[in-house]
Amino acid sequence: METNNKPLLEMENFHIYFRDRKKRLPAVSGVNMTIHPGEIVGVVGESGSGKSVMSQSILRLREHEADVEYEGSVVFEGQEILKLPLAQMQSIRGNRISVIFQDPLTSLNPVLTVGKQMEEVLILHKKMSRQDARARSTELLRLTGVPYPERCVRQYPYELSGGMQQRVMISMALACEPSLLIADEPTTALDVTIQNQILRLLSELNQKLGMAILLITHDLSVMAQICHSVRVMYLGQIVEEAKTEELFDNPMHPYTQGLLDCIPHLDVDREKPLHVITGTVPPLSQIPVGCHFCTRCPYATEQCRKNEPPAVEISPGHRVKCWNPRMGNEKKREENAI
Amino acid sequence: MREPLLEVKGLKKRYPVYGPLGKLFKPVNHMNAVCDMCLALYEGETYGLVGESGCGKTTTGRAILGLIHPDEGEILYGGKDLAKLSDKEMRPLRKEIQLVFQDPLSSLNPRQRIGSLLEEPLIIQKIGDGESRRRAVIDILEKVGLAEEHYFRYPHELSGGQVQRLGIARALIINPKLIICDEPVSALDVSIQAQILNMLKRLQKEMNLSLLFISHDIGVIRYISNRIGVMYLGSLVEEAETEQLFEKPLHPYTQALFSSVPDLSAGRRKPEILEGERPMRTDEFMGCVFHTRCRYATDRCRTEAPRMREVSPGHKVACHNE
Repeated sequence: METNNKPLLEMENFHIYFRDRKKRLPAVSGVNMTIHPGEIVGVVGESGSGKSVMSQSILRLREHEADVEYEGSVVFEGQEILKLPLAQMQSIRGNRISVIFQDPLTSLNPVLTVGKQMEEVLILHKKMSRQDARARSTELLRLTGVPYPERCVRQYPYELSGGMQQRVMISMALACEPSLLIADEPTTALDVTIQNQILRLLSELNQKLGMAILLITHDLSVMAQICHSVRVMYLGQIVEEAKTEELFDNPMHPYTQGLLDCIPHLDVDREKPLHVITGTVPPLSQIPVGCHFCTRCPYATEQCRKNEPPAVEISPGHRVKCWNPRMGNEKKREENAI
Repeated sequence: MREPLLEVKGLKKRYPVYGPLGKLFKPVNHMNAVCDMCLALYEGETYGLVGESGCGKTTTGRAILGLIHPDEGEILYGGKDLAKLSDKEMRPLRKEIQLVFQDPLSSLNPRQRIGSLLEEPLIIQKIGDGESRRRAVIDILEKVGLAEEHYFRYPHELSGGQVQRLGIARALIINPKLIICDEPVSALDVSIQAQILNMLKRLQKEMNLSLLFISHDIGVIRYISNRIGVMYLGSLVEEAETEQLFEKPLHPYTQALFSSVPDLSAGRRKPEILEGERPMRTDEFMGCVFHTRCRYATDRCRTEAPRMREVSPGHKVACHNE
């Protein structure tokens, strides 16, 4: 993959605040992220880590429902997104950047046939005629592996299975050949066997169409399957970023290590208790000073509780936001000593 | 051979499927949610029931508790057939069989304080007096890792993991023998999931509980269960001790299910991808439940349903050509 070409999306010191009466709650604090064309970037984190808010803010989908404030900059294809008038946003949404959500059934219109809703996108953005739009919709459904696309366009969303609905969502998202697809937990509502079909589809589309994908999930194993690089988020910050292989082979941040350890893998010793990250994610109103993870970190020191750690580049492309990052093998040695 | 604590034999539950005009006309077909389901659960063990959504694992769990009335089959518990009992006759038995839900918050009355929520099962079962009940509540709070200060709080004040602890406490307070856990950790974050699993394992030992653990997560099932049953389309396709099953899965569905779990430590191994989707099991459905997606399927598989047979001690599989 080329990395020296111009980035597709560049976030710099991106902050998102929710206004709650007098307080400002920081949902995302100071995220830097670059996505290159054709790259699959994964963002992983527990619920409340700000991953969905961040991805939806790229499309500025949050402004209608809550009092949101942005700081920093998000540049997409050379345009500063945060300063665009909403009318102009409309020409980016669904056209240059598309999004698919976790629950396909609630994102599809229940009273329109699949064909009608797909044509809508094409007629609006591509100014196609209805006949052309219909033909293109069928073609798109075929591309995403829907078995009988001619029949599918005449069906209503509820008539389809979960996996098929998600395929329809993906075809719709692809309608205008976007350069970036945001997939927010696209497989969480699906069964494992169907999940793998959808992930393979996303990865094929990425190769075939060269479309970049921002994949948001809470499931590390989904990341491992298709992402080129991974960002780990905790309480609105990226705590670790690296190429996928590097992150799984050599996790440095105590939070990443904890996340990897507490999953009951198929080779875990069933007699031993599972590794746990103690405590819970604190609410946004109680974010600790210093390192955000210090309240749950087993290695936290005085320094961690006072000052926020900088993101340090350990090896090319591998950044960790921690005062005392530890090597994976160093941790193993400690465990053996105990 | 030990006597099983609970035995399910030939359980069947059908649901009508209506045409486009709904209940105006007779059902056009029937869907078999559970069909010829058999399982035995022994005292003190954890039996894991694993399968994809819609395979009938929840229906089985609910039928055992009498929350769904099965169309056919027997559910034997302590010499009684639970399937034939009326709701009133079932009530005293609920003292011994309890349920933990996936989403405990929706199963708790939001206007009741935690103390009274926990006391309720004791009142219904007429156990103890006011003072001893209060002591029992405080006792159980501590057991599941909540504190006495939670007594006067409301359920919505708790975090997701704490609510699940409360759900478990509510099932445990009347000292049941058998607990049916229906996806108890699926709605939780991984770091909280590990806490709850560790706790369930500890409490099971302490209180000598038998668990029927229902989940779609293979890693979770493997960690918590002694024996595992794999369900597909309303029937059990394979059953074995945990080690046995993971060492040598015999049914093609079990193999596909296991290989679909991405293995983080082994790196970027591409999982085997199972093509197609689950069909509907109508009355006309013939042959092996898995034949539509199985790559080894023969003509025999399409016409004749394989029976469960024991291949090695304790390891049963329903397949013509394992």
